[in-house]
Amino acid sequence: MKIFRKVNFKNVLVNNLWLKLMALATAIIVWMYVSGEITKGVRI
Amino acid sequence: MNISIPAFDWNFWKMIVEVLILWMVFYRVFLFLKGTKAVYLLRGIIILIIAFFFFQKMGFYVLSWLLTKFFAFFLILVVIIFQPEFREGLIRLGRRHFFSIEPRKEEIEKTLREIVSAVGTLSRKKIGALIAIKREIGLKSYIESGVVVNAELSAELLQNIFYPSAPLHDGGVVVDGTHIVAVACLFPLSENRALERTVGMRHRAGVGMSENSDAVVIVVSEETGAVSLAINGQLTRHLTPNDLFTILKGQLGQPK
Repeated sequence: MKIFRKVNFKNVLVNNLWLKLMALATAIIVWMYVSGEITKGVRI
Repeated sequence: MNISIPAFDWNFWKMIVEVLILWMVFYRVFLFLKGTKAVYLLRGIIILIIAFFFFQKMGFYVLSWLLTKFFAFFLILVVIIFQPEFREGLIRLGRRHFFSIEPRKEEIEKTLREIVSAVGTLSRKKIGALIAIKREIGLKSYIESGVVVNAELSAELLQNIFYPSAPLHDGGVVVDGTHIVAVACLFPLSENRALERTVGMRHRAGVGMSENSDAVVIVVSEETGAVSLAINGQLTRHLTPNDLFTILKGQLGQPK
């Protein structure tokens, strides 16, 4: 029986994968939207 | 947007850092909301945002104008409805050290020893017990079904909670880190038909909890005093205190 949990990078990535992907998608969308708005403001 | 990708383009790396920070923030927020009623609200907001962009793209300006006005009202409503969650989130944020978020390894080990000691005593006395130890997924909806105590965990306190004539002995205890967060909580019952017929409601609730979250659930049988552990919907029965400690340490002993 394993006593200590090894830090497994595969597990770190796979744990809550959907949540991570959703967060990444949201982050990219928000960044692109805000960046677009800022650029629009600068052009005006 | 002007995105160029050469290795030393400062703007490109700034963009990556910004997206990574946003990713971390959104992930933490989603993790915080997971297992709470706020998930339904989040779904509603996502649907509204998609509808807003759809209306804008299709040129339905009246509908998108209405949605814009509704958003402003909706935000105020959200702050009022979820005021306790916001408060808890901010308190947690303030309480945590930026880099060491979880309790230290020694603290976790001490807590596990206290739990195993209490479980051993309860098992010898044939007192039923149901203890869910939180891992990553939030257990707020279950915590809300019980009585919030937020007390530092000790073997004596756990024994006292499950003492048959104690007012809060019915239901499950939720442990988060080094604290007993709530007692007398309602856990969901497992509908797994593969579970033995001899398995009672307490065990079904333990398995149900481990199916609906990533919590590690300890169950002490009232009839036999046997100690069982439910992880990811799998029930391991008839554990000795040493086995229990070893498994718990393996599952929870390392800070995340």
